[in-house]
Formats: sequence, C-alpha cells, structure tokens
Amino acid sequence: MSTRKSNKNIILLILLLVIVGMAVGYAALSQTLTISGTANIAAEWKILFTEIEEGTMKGASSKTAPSYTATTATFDVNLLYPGASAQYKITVANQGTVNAFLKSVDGIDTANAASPTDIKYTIDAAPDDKLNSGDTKVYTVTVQWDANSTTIPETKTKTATITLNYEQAE
Amino acid sequence: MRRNKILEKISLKTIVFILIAVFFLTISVGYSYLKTQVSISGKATILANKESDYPQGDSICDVKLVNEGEQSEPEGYFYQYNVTITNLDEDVTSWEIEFDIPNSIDVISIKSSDASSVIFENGRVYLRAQSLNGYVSKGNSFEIGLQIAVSKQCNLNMDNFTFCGKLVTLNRIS
Repeated sequence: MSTRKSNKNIILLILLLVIVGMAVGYAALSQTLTISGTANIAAEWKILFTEIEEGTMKGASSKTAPSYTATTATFDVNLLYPGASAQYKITVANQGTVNAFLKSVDGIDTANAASPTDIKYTIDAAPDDKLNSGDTKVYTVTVQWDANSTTIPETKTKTATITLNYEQAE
Repeated sequence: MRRNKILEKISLKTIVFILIAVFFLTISVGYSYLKTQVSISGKATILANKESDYPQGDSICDVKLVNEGEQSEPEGYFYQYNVTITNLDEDVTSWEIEFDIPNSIDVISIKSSDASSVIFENGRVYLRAQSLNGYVSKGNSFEIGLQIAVSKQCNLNMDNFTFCGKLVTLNRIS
C-alpha cells in the first residue's frame, strides 16, 4: 500500500516538474511583437478674411479706413446725398486643406428692414458658392442711400452685420 | 443573485433597443461637419447739410486711381489718378479744378502735366488749365492726369472738389 502511494506521489511530482518545465520552456521561446503606430489628423480647416478695400464710391467717403481681422471685416462710410453709394471689396480665403462652401448669408434682410430704410445693404455672395482649398473669393458689399429719397431721415446711421456661414463641402 | 434578478426583468427587446440607440448616438457624434462663420460689420451714415464754402453745381467729377506704389526719390509713396470732369454747368474758357487734402497727410508733391499750374496751399489744391486745353463747353468732358506723392501710404481722402468755383458730384472709381 505504502509503496503504491509513494509511486503515485513520485509520478505526480514528475508530472508537475514536466508541466513547470514546459511552462518555462514555452515562456523562453515566446516573444512579444509590438506594432507601434502614430496617427495624425493632417486636415486643416481655415477660412478667413484676407483683404478689404474700397470699390467705387459715388458721393460717399470712408469715415475711417476699412479694416479686417481673420473673422471680421469692418467699414464705416458717409453718404452725402440720395443716390450715393459705396462699395467695399472683401476677400475670403480658404487656407486650409478641406474644401468648403457658403452655406448661408445672414443679416442682410435684418439690416435692410431696420431704420432708416433709405439705406440699403447688398452683397453679391450667394449660398452654395464654392471655396475650395487654396482658393480666394472676392465679394462686393454695397451700401446705398435710396436715390428716390426726398427727406432726410431722423435716424441717419445704420449698421449691419453680415455673416457668411461656411461648411465643409462633400 | 441580485444581478440575475435585474437581468431577468430586462427583456431582450429592451437590450436590443438600447444597443441600437447607443449605436446611432455614436454615429451622430462622430459624423459632424466642419463649420465656421466670418462677419462683415458695416456702418453707413447719412451726412446731410454738409456745409461748404462753395455753391453746388451740376458738373460731375470722376476720380479713378490708376497706379500707386513706393517711390525712392524722394522716399515716399505715390498715387496716380485720372480725373474726368463732365461739365454740366456752362461753357468755360479756362477751367479751374480745386480740391482738399486732409491736413494730417504729409504731401511731398502734386503734379499734373495737363495743368499750367499746380498750387498746394493750406490743404487745398488749385489746378489751372493750359492755354490749349482750357475751353470746355457745356455737356462735354475732359480728363487730366494727377500724381500725388506723400511720405507714406495712407487713405488720400480728397474731398470738396470744385470745377470753376462750383461743387461737383464726386465719384471715386476703382
């Protein structure tokens, strides 16, 4: 009995040693392969103003020189008589790598509805205008004192904020 | 045990619905357009009753900038204009054109090969016709060249243009 039990113990011990030996040998032969990668977003989204300058001025003069930043172009003009008009040419550039289009132009209707209604703003920008990567577009903003005005309005100044909304093109 | 009880109460349909909702939420968050807004800020003022020392006439003056740039001798910046007068008042035998330049501008020189004399005094420019080009009948137009040199690039806000002593309607063309 005791001989059988000791034989079993020996066999168990041998099997245990074999398993440990296999585990050590397997670990020694195994090797970790690592794949290391870096992903960068190369695309750049950059739409901005790059210029504003006077266009044709009829009976109008800039009160201060027109100016611009990346996101805002500004002008301030005096209109001298009914029919006077001022044009400003504004350049928008796509300096990014993603194509864009003009989704909408806001603010014109609101500005023209406000007093004095004798002063009207217009812009030749239209929705769906494309502005591909690397391209520039020159828009003309015109402000005019209605030629048919016969009286001087009580409110003599009108401001407008015209917003150009750009989105990435398909 | 408690976890199993909770799971038992949630049906398979509910689980599927939640999974689908999470799936579409993930898609919508990931799928978004790049956008930007740029704004044009404008201000227009009606300048009524602008006082002038000169009576208003009917003639029209178109001022067109044709060239500009840096100059080296003397150092500064030049502007070259074509000034076109459409005489709608009366026949003249020797035209005179005058206009103001803001006092803040440092003027180096003013020249016109079409004028017999160019005088710049107290912020006002006086151009007088030559003997050969002085006559302008009513309804006709004539053009002169004008070169203005200043110390640095600036907004040359020429104003108060007169033709033979009467204010003209001024158009700046570019």
